[in-house]
Amino acid sequence: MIEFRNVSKYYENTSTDAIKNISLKIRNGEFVFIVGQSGAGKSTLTKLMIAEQKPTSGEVLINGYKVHELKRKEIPYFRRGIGMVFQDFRLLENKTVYENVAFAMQIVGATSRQVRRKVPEVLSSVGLAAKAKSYPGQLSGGEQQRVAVARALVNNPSVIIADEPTGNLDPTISKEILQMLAEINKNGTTVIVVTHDKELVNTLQKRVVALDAGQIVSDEERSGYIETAFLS
Amino acid sequence: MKLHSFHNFLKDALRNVTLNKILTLATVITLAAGLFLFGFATAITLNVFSITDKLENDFKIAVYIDEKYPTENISRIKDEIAKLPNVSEVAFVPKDQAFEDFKETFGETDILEGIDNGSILRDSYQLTLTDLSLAPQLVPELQKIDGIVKVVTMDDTMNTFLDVTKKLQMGTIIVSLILGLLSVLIITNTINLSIFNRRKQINIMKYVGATDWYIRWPFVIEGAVIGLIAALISFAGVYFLYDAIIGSATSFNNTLGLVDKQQMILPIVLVIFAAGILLGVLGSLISVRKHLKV
Repeated sequence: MIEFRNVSKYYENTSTDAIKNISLKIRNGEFVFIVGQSGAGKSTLTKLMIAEQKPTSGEVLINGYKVHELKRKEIPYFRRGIGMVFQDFRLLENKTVYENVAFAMQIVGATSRQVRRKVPEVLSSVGLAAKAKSYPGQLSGGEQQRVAVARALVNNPSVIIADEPTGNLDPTISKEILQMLAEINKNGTTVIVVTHDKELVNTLQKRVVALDAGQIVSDEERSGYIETAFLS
Repeated sequence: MKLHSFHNFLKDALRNVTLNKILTLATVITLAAGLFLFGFATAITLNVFSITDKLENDFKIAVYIDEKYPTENISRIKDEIAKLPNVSEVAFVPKDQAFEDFKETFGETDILEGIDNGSILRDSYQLTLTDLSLAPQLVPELQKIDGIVKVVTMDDTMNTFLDVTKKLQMGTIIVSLILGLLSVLIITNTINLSIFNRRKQINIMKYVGATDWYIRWPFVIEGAVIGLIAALISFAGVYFLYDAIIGSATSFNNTLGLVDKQQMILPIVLVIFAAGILLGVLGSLISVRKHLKV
């Protein structure tokens, strides 16, 4: 369960309320789009979810953690329960595809045997078994994002947060990535996709939470076709 | 830390060293140059201490024996002196010997007209001290000994010598430390550049859930490896340069009290390798720190 209780975030340096008194519940196993134009507060919401920032007020509860109260040394352990997928893939350039995925297991203390067993399985599930020895620089954008998804999946997280996962991809590949995330969701993982891409949202009939000027302006189950001014 | 984790850290560290060749080379060269200066300054400091120790031994206290004191009892004075603390050597100088030394120093002068032997002088003992700075404490004890009529300490000369020695020793230590500090600043800057290039890598590791120390370890090992390589290079430089200098000064090595190159190896190895590894590790830790705040 992910819960925001009356959460606000104020940035002093720009004197702006990025998030204003948001309350939101995401149940286990849900697939949710968080949408809005640039500056709506999507990125801030994502940063609050992964404890990159702390709310000015309110509570953020994820996987039993009070994220707003996490100490710095607790943050890595919290993040291991969340799989992150980013717009710019964020792969380690000096590691192969296999090593990028294996790294996520190594940091949680998996043994070499466990890594050797699980990583090929995950790479197969995203269709990249043949690219295990390639470096990120040798892959296409879509392939890199699939590696990122594999890395996000490998420790069986309860939540995957994808922040503009298709921002750097063409429409065909974008749909493939989205379908991949939908499949992951079918297996019980909560998936949150943050995007401003209307076409992407309309691909799946899932819950859509729309933000505008730091507030939730719409929260629709099975929204599907969106008629709204806040999407591009 | 688990063994397989350390194995991964070592692998990452060695890979980083070889992948970022230009930056690794720049860091090694900068560190080696700094260590070379620091190592050579240390060698100079050790020699200054050695030379000043030797010169200190040349300063002696002279105690003159009353000419009326029975000759057969003179050795008793030596026994009394030897019991005193801070006295490392007691040498008897009979008056005839003193006369010959006087003639050698000043030549045949008018002062000696009509004098053929040392009968105008006194027998004396020349004392070598363990610690010259404690000479003033010794004087009253010497004056108490029966038979001793005068104690000469060359106070002014000794004090000047001690003062100069202290300043020289302090000066070389300060120069060594300044060079060491400059090396730290330059090396940290160079390592900073190297790690700045990998800030994105550090950020990604944080997002994936790596702890700060899990991220630091490969950089720490990398810093230690670079420090070790630089230490090897600078040690070779210091050793061969020192060998060349000592080789060209063989005729007065013993006179001056220069440190032999075999005796120099251990302190220089300890200083250079310890400093190299420490600087490499510290530089990495400081540089990584600012990129961990995600």
